[in-house]
Amino acid sequence: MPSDVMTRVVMEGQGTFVRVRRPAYWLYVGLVAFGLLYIGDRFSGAFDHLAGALWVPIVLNGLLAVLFVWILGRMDLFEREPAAVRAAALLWGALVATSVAIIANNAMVSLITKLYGVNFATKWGAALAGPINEEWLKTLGVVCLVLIVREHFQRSMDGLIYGAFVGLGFQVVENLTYAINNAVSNPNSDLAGSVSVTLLRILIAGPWSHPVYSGVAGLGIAFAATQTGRKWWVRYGVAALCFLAAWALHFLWNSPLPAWLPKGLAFFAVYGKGALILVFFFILYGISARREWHWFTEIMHDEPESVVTPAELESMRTLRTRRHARKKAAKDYGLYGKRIVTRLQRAQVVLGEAKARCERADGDLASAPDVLVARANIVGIREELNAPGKKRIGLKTRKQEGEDVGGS
Amino acid sequence: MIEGAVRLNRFGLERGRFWSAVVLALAVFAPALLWTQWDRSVDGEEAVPAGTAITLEASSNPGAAGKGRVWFTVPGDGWVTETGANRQSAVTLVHSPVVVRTSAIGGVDDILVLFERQARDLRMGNRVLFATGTRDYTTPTGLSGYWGDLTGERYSGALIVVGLGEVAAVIVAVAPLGRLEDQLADIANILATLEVSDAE
Repeated sequence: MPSDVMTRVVMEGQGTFVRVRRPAYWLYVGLVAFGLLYIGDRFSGAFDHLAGALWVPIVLNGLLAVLFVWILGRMDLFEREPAAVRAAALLWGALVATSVAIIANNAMVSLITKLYGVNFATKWGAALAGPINEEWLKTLGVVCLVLIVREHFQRSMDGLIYGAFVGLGFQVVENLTYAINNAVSNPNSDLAGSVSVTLLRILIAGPWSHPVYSGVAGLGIAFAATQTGRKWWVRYGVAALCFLAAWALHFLWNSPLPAWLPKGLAFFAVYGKGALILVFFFILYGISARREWHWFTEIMHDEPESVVTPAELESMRTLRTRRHARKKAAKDYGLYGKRIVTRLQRAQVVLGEAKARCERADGDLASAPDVLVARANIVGIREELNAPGKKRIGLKTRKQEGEDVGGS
Repeated sequence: MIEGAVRLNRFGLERGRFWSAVVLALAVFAPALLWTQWDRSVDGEEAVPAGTAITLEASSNPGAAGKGRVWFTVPGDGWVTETGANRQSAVTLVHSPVVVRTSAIGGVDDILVLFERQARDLRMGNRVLFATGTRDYTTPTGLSGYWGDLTGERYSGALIVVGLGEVAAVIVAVAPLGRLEDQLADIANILATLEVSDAE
């Protein structure tokens, strides 16, 4: 029987993340179910006995997660990734990566202890097992998202954001696992054990932990997936280098401080390691954000000045330049002007997203409804800004009549 | 929402995407399979000659200031250790059928609290054991603490927690029901050499 006979073609609408026709989607669902059962089993037993001691770690880690979600949302300058896909990334890190990592890490530390002895395992077990198993598993989360929703990966920044969300999920569940273990092993009190380790992990490792490592690896995966115009070895080479970099950052953080280091300097050495990790991450982020801005200027370059002026385009480059434009608007027009410019900047980002979506679908930019609506919104906001009744609602005298609001 | 045409295979799934998902599934479980199988293939039992001195570093939990050491001598022949399960602060010795796990714990405020917490952990564990008949106990080396008899469905044993200052030694001896009595001399011999130091 020819294979074409077995082929069916269907037309179906696709939501943001659910792709019932994609095998990777069902793999994702199965792995999340596995993780839920595995982690649920470990946590439910602990909750029976330690519930009173775990509320504080849960609240603190919840706050940590909210803070990171907010930061990652701000870092995503030109295209807010869909909430469902971000949540899927978070779940992979929280359930899939952690559950398999626990099995792999335990076996690997046991093996290292057998082969090289207790002293070596104590010193280097976490530095080896953590990066090798955890970075691999978290990076596969981004690969899985590429297989399910490739259309949500347009540029390297998307991989960085999704990778960071995978890392965030992993970090929160790992922190809770530590809280449970230390509640049990503390010789005096469950609460003292869980709270002390939670504070330690949030205050010392919080800013430069899993979201940073996985963001770096995710950036590489997205580069390989999106830079299809480049040679294959460049794409996969960059992905491999980013993975190695994530591994190295994790190894650096987990590796023990040298024995010769005076105890008084340990604090500075730990934060020094963290600072190095953050600097590396922000260099990569800066490069990625610059590429994002170039993409934005390209997609918006044919828009008339009633939609976006060259000065406004320049002001969209970074969070700082956007803030500067808003401050300038506040200075020139008061709080009302600041609000209007904030809306204008958001509307311009929405227009960029709509145009990109339309281009991907080979649509007509002149007639695509969401592009037209986004454009009309911008024109409406601009008219509001220039409306003659502005003084009635506290707008200061316009100092530079005719100057664009984001102008330099 | 994006509308798109999807070409399906015989299972109703998108064509050309099956094997990538299979490779991903293998990749996800690869580390767990690799390390567990490798770990199982390496013999973890090691004979411990009689008279071997074992020193454990007291584990320091975050917030617990006390550090120190616990040491003892392996009594007689026939003891083996499960190397993969050993840590700097804990060692598992087996003299079939009895299994003795000795741990060193730092930052202890109250030996009785630690004893009760250890008893709770044994109740929560996979092999549920209840500590009964708790009584004061002093080792031949002068360390004071508590002794409890462990009773479970298929196992029995003893939980002994003794200490000095902020450092404690926790000994959990477990054997199949009715087999511990024959091995009590082994445990007594370990306790006879047990020492604790709360100096770093």
